Order: sequence, then C-alpha cells, then structure tokens
Amino acid sequence: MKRHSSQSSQPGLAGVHPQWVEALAHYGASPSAYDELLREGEVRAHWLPLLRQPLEDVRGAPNATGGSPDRRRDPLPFLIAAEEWRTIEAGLEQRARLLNAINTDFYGAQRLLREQGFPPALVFANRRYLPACRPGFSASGAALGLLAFDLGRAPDGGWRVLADRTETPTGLGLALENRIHTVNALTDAAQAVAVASPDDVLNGFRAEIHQRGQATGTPRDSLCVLLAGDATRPDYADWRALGEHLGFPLLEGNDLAVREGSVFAKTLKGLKPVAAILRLVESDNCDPLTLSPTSLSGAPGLLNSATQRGVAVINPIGSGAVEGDALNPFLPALCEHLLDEPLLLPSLATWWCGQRREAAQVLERLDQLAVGEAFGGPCGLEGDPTPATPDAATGEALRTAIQAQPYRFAGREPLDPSTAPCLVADGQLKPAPVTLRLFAVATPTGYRVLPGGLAWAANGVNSRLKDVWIADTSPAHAQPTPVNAAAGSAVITRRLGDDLFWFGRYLERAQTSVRIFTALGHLIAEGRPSNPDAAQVPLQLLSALAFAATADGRSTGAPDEAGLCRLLFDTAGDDSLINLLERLRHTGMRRRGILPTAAWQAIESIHQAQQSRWRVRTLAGALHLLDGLALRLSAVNGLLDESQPRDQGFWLQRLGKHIERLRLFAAINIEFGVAPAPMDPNRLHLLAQLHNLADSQAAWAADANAAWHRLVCDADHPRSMCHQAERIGRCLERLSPEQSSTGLGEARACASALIDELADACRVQEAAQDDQARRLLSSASARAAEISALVSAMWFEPQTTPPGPDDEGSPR
Amino acid sequence: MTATLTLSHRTHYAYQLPVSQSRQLLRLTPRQAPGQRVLSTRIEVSPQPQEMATRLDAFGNQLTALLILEEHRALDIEAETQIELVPTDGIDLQASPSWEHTAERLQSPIDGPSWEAAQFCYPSPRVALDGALDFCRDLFVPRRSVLDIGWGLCERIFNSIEYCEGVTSVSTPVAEVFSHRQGVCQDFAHAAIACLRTHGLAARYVSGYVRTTRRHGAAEGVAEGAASDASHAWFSVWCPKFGWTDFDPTNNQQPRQSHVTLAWGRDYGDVSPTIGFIQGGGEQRLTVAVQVAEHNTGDSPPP
Repeated sequence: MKRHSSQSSQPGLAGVHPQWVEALAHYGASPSAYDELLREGEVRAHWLPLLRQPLEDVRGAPNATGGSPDRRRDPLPFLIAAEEWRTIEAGLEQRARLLNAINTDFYGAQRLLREQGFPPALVFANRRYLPACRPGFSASGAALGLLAFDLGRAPDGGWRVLADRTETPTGLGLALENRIHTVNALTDAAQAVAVASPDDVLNGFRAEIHQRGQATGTPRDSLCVLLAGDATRPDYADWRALGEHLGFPLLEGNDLAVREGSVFAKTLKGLKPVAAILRLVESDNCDPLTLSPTSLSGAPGLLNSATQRGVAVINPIGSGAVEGDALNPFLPALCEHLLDEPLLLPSLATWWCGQRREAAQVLERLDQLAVGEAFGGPCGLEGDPTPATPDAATGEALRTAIQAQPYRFAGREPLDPSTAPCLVADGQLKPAPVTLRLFAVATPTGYRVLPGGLAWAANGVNSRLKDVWIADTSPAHAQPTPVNAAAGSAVITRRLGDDLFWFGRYLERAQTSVRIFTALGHLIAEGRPSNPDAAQVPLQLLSALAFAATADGRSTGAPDEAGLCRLLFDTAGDDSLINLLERLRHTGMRRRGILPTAAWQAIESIHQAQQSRWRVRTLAGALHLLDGLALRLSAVNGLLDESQPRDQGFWLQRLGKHIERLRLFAAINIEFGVAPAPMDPNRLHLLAQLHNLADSQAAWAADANAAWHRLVCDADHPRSMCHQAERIGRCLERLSPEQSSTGLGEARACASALIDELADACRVQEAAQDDQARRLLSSASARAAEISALVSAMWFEPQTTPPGPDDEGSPR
Repeated sequence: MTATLTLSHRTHYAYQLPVSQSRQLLRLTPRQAPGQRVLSTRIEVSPQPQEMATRLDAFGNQLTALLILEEHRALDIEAETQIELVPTDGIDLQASPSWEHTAERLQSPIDGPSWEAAQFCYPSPRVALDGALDFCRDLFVPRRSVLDIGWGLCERIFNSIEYCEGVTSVSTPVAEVFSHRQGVCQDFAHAAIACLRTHGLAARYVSGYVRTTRRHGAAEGVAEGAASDASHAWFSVWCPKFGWTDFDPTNNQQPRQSHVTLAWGRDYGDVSPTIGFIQGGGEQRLTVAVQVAEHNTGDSPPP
C-alpha cells in the first residue's frame, strides 16, 4: 500500500486510475525506445482519458478472436493522438492517389518509363506486373479501391511506411470486427476517448464499389460481390468479416460465370448479373484461362470481362505491380512528378539492387540491412517488419543471388518500432514493439483513410492484435463522434434486404414477447391474483402467440418462478425468447455493416445480457433481466430510427416491423376479446401493460369502446391496427419495383384492401359483435401474412450465394 | 522467292466423360511478322461454340476465345491458314553490336523498338534463370557481337542437349533441362532464352511451324504417326541494329523463309496454341496433327 500511494503522487500519473498506477510501476519501458504511452515517466496526454478508467475493464475483456485460435486479441487499444493522426491520414490518402497513378501508368502508356526515365526493370522484372492485364486497362478506367499500409514509428518519433499493399490488402474485415469487440468490451473507455467511427468511410467505400459497378452498364439490380478463396484459406475469417460489414456476398471463383463479356453469379434461380467485384484473391488466381493455367480457382474469362468493362474489379487484376520495396526509393520523385506534391509520409530508407550503385551499397552492408524480395509485398496478414528473401538465402548464397539477378532484391534500413503497452498473461502491462496496419479506400469523394485499423504487438512468440483508436483530447471532441450509417446509397442486395426485413420482424417480435413475459412475471410476483381467470389470460395469450407455451404450463395452470425461467430460456423451444434474440442477433450480424454501429453495439449488449441467463434463478432476477432487455431493444429501435438512411433497406425493415406488429396485435386483441364493447377491468389492466399504456387506463375505463378504438381504429395511435395497415401501405409505396415483378403491385393492392376493411369495420362499430370483431382481426392478420409472402417472393431468394459454412439461408 | 503455304493445325480432344462446358483460348492464327503475310485464315470448331471472339493479346498475337455450352465428349479445332512467305535479306551476324552494348541499351531504352525489347530481358513465369550462367558463361566473351552469341548458343544447345520426346513436359523448369541435357524444341528455346536474359539481353519465345526439318518436335503431345510437320518453337534475340533475329536450336539453323511464325511472348506460357478450361471430362486424350502444304505456283503471280 505504501508503494501504491507513493506512485499515485507522481506528477506524471495525476488523474490516472490507481489500477493503472499499480500496473505501470512494473511496466518497464526501455529508456532508449520510443514508448507510445510514457514519455520520460509521464503519461502522454492522449492516453489519459483511457487511463482514468479502471484497468480491470481491460483485464476482464475477452481476448480471443473469432478467427483462428492462434490469433489473439489484446483488448488494450493502441492510441494515436488526433493531431498526429491527421498527418498520417493525409500521408496515406496521398499514397493511395500516388500508387493508383503509378499503377494506371504501368498498365497504360508507361510514360514513367518511356519519358521520365524510371528504370524499365521496375515494371518488366516485376513478377506482379502481368502483361496480360495491359490491353484495355486504360480504357476500362480501372483504379485501386482498397489499399493497406504497414507503418511503424522510428526512434526519432516519425512514422515510416513499412509496406504498401495493393494486391490483396488483407485485414480490413478483422479490423472492423476487432473494433466492435474492443468497443463492446471497453464501453466506458471508448466513450471517454471518443473513438471515431469507421462507418462513414465504409459507407463511402460501399457507395464507390456500387458506383463503379453501375458505370459498367450492367442492369440496375446487379450484384456487388467479394471474390474470395475457399474457407480453408488463412484469410477467410478476414474476408468473411469484410463481407458482413460491406453487406456483399462472399463468392468464390466457381460461383461466377462469364457470358458474352459479362459476369454473373450462379444462383439457385439462375444467373444474376454482377456489376462489381471486390477482389480478395491474388491476381494470378482470378482467371485460370489467361493468368495461371495451373490454378483451378478464379473464373475463366474474368480478366477479359474486366478489361472490356463488363465488370468492375477492385483492385484491378495485376495491381500488385505497385507494391514491393523496389518502388520505395522512387516514391518521392514519382510523387513530385505525378501529383506535383512532396511525398508526405516516407518509406523506410530502401536501396533497390536493380540500380548498380545501390546494389553495391547493399552488398557492402549485407549484414546491416534487411534484404528481401524487391517485388510483391509480404504476403499474409501479420505485419512482419523483416522482409523475406527469395529462396530464403543468407550470407554468401544471398550475395551470389543478388549478383546474378540484382533487380530481384532490395535492402532496407531495419526498424525498431516503438513500443506500446500490452496486456500479458498475468494481467501485467508490458511494452511490446508495435506496427500498424491502416487502410485507405476509394469513395465517391476520393480516397479516404479508415479512422482506426489494426496494431500488431510482437508480444513474445505470438503477435497480438489490437484496435487502433484515435484519441482526440480537444474539448470539441469530448463527446463521442456519433456513429451511424451515413445517408447514402447502401447497396441492398437481395439477401441483405431479406435480412433487414426479418430483422424488422424479429425486433418487433422480441419487444412484444419481452412485454408479455414481463407481464406474466409481475402476475406471478404479485402472488395468486384474487381472480384466477386473470392469471389465465397471459397464459392463454402465450399459447395463442405460440411463444414457448409448454404442455405442462398449460396443464398446471399459471407457471411458477421456475416455469417462467424455463419459458424464457429454453433453447429447445423454437420461439423461446432466447432463440428469438439469437435469431435477431444473427440476422443483424450478417448485415451489421449497414446497421449503425451503436445499434449493433446495443444488439451485442443484448447478447451479453442473455449470456448471463444462467445466473437467473429467481423471479426477481428474471424480471430484472427482462427490464434490461426491454430497455436495450428500445434503444436499438430508437437508434435505427435516428440514424438509418431512408433507403430501400430501411423501408424493408420498417415493413417487417409493421407487418409483425399487425400480426402480433391482432393475436393479442383477439385473445383479449377486444371488441367495441365494455371489457373486464382486469383484462384492460393487462392489456394496458402489454402496450405500455398504463397511464391511459383511466381514459379506457371511462368509455366502453375506448380500447377498441385505441387499439384498432385510431390511425393516429401508433399501436392501433389501422396505424400498422397505413404504415404497411406507406412502406410499400417507398419500395421501388424490381424488374419484371408484379408482386409489388399485388402487395400494394393487398395493403389498400387491408386499410379499407379496417376502416369499414370501424365505421360500423356499433353493430359489431364479439365474433365479428374476431373475424375482422383474423382477416387483417391474414392479409398481413399475404403481404409478407408477396414481398418475400418479390425481393428475396432462398440463396444468392452458394451455401458456405455460415450460410444457413434466410431465417424464418 | 515468294512461297505460298497452306497450314492446317488440327487439335482433337477425346474425353472419358461428357464435358458440360468448355472455354478455350487459341493462338492458332499466324500473327503479323516480318517475312510473312497471312492471306486467309479460318478456325472451325466442333461442337459449335456459343461464343467465339478474336482479339490481340498483350504481345500482339492473334487470340481466339471460345465458349462451348453444349455437352460433348470430343472437341475438334481445325485451323487453316494460307500464308505467303517473303524472302528477307540475310544479315551479317558479326556486324551486330556487342552484347554489352546491347544489354546497356536495354537498361536505358531510347526508342520504341528498344522499349518493346526491354520487356523480354527478365525472368518470366516459365523461364527462371537458375543454371543458365554455368551453361553458357564461356560464350559471352567481352565485346562479342550479340548475334554471333545467338548463333553460338544455338549450336551449343543443338550439340549438348539431346532431343528427346517424353522426358520433359510443358512445365519442366529450365534448370532441369540444363542439368539433364534432354528435351524438346520448347525446352531448347527456353534454355537459350534463359542464357540470354541472365546476361541482360532480350530474348523471346517464338512458336510456329517449320517447312523443312532435320529434327522437329511437338509442343503439346506427339502427333500421331509422327507427321512430318508439327508445332515448333525457337527463340529470337534482339539487338539495336537489326532488331529481332530468330535462331532455331532444335534444327541448328537460322529460320529464314523456312519457318512460319504463329505467336511470340516471354515463354511458352504466353503463346501456348490452346489453353482450355472444361467442366467434366474426366481423363482426356489430346492429338495434334499439323500439315504444311506448299503451293508451287505461289512464287510468281501472273502479270
């Protein structure tokens, strides 16, 4: 304790949470290295908001990633000060433009070689330069769309680019996934640091892919897809995550067919045109016919289609020509020449042996430099700062190899990257050298850099993966940046639409069932009610709504505490709350790229809440859990309303919500015997509870018809049947018809029939009898089901992608 | 003396199982090249392709792409070309620039032709340079004229590598040819190309047909009954003064009017006469038959 208090009195650690102070006492940053957290024993200002939070939050966070088990996460993020980030951001944006300009020239006029005197070997000795990609390249307007950069901080404090990755820039999917994991685990810290959201940049990328696809002149409903390798490939987890975030299906080469210069996805319903392909596999593996006859992956004919503008491929096939160390020494001059700007962010000092003098220098300093392959960046995900040599040659063998084919080698100054705090096994903090993987993407407004990325901590044998947070300490950014999907043209593929529609339905169903269970729980908690009939009501309801009403529940009358818990958490019950929430999360997860991040976080927190169900053994615990769920579900609803762009996906989701609502409310109203007639006060009370209308009970009781009017006829009341019908009609109006679809017209007709029927019924209410009301409500519910079926048939298909390990088709 | 030839190149695939879809890329139409003029050309395919399109590839070769969606158990591709061979002037090999000068020029090209040649100076997918230096080091004496070296290389390969069918395949690495000293025309050409490129010179792979042969080879499978003419391959070396000059190491000769050029590229991979991608088929058997027929009246058109 004594040491503890003496530490906290250090001026450099003022305001830091005692748990951090404690841990930092054993941190042990090397005095010679640049440490990201500490500067001469003082915490750098941009880390302070994080260090004011308890370190226990970080220690308690789960550290396993969804991907391969050997890839471990370190929940402690890597922080970059906002001012510093702006220089990195500007540097990488410039690099993206520069590399694109170089790639365009290499596959086009080659003026850089022919007129500007850059050495021909830069292109022709480059094994990633594929001559077959050159014919038609310029006319196709192809451009880089996704770039990754590895960066490290040199001991002088400046950042160096260790590698440019333009061939298969891996890691973006993992970065986005890691962000969600980290922010979820460290909610308070994320708030305190005001972590910038990647949504805006990602939306721009999605829009750009869509736009480039449109520019090929393929039909309007063409797909944008990811071209990936099979699930055995080490990068598969990354690809899948990226697909989920972008909302594009993940295809393999043999899912594609090329016909008359256009590309199609082979779906169960035939060939669907593909407008744009985000290429995640190596260029060599894209087209076995023209590029690599020995490779069986890829789609034969794809290259020709791409160069004839039949499809937009991003990054263009062959784009690996501009990655690799050979280009490094030329980048400053290329930047001046092509962009008329000085290069903002330097590469590591590099000597390419394709030049005589440089080769001599490398041979002279062979033991001091990191010598490796000059062309083609390092493969894979791990940010290994030491390049691999071809044939793994060392010493004299390497010297001979360089002398034989000098242009294949480059030597560069080794870098000791800065250190950052890492959580080690026993919960201690230790400094570990860190390199960053950052991303730039093309958007309709130019290249933009993803705010965040991955940090690799070389922590012992295994490297650990960290999230990168940009920490803005200026007062203007005290509040977290609103994280939402920017208004824009999110691409709603069929599967995406399908998921959103069902997401809307599940969300509504979950909210209503939470309310029903809560009502039931309160009934049980109040003890046996005086009127035994009242206790039966919710039970009847449950069975009517097919929610987990078990056979013994029905036979023994009202369930007890244990019975309720069973009803809630029985994973075997198809419609148990737990299964419903799981389906909600599953549908949401697949499309979380277009859900506002905050909404997704709320869904994740629901998931976490339901994970704790095993702790619930008492009624009070169950009610507490239900209260929490109700709150979070409302939050999801509200966040979606707040921040979702009003695109096709939004209206589909809304349509799902109102159809579900109409069906649920019809069932409830039927069960309660809602009719234009007086009601039993006990039922009325419960009904009000179910609809969260407790405050208006008095008004209901005053007028016998009030409940009927409020819950069925009043179109201005958001919980009335008429209101749902009208909303269904409105959503259908907002949906644009798909090609050759008469379904939308039918659905609209069905909706107006529904509205008319309800209006008629309300007009003649005096004459209505109980069973008449019941018939009317059933008929309305049937109409809603019919609309749902029509919409499903129109927009959705069971599958547009071949079944993958995580593809279970559409949930129903 | 001008000669007119009719070339017929028949490719036949027999499949064990039905093929539901077949996509083929053909380089069976002779390209534009010095000393030859294509008079007419046609390609017939059975079964009838759903798509058939021609274009030029990255090296200016004639490419025909076809797609067959009809189920089939056999595929026949017949290419027939009428071509006129025009005599070219012989050149004095000794008068070509030195190999050092040529290599220097290729490092810093100054005009269209040298830029065009510069892309053929480096290892390519099927021509790694391993083993080449030891095979030819002594030929590259200082200031020796580059075409004289080309000729020397042609002789060296002819004399030290045994022409031997069935030992190598289309994917045999050049290093293996240098160590085993056996191969067919394709290996001979690849070996020469590796030797030239390892010295910074531009060398390209040429595919085509030969009229009169002492020895010959078939690139992709042996013609049944050992037809007297078959697909052939040789190499070409570049120098500033004379441009590209062909050498045929299989026959130890300089192809002049005796050879018809089909296509050229960095190595066999850039020019293979047929590349296919099929669905189904099981085991397949390939037979290639090439005929070169000469029209004796072609030399002097009536006035």
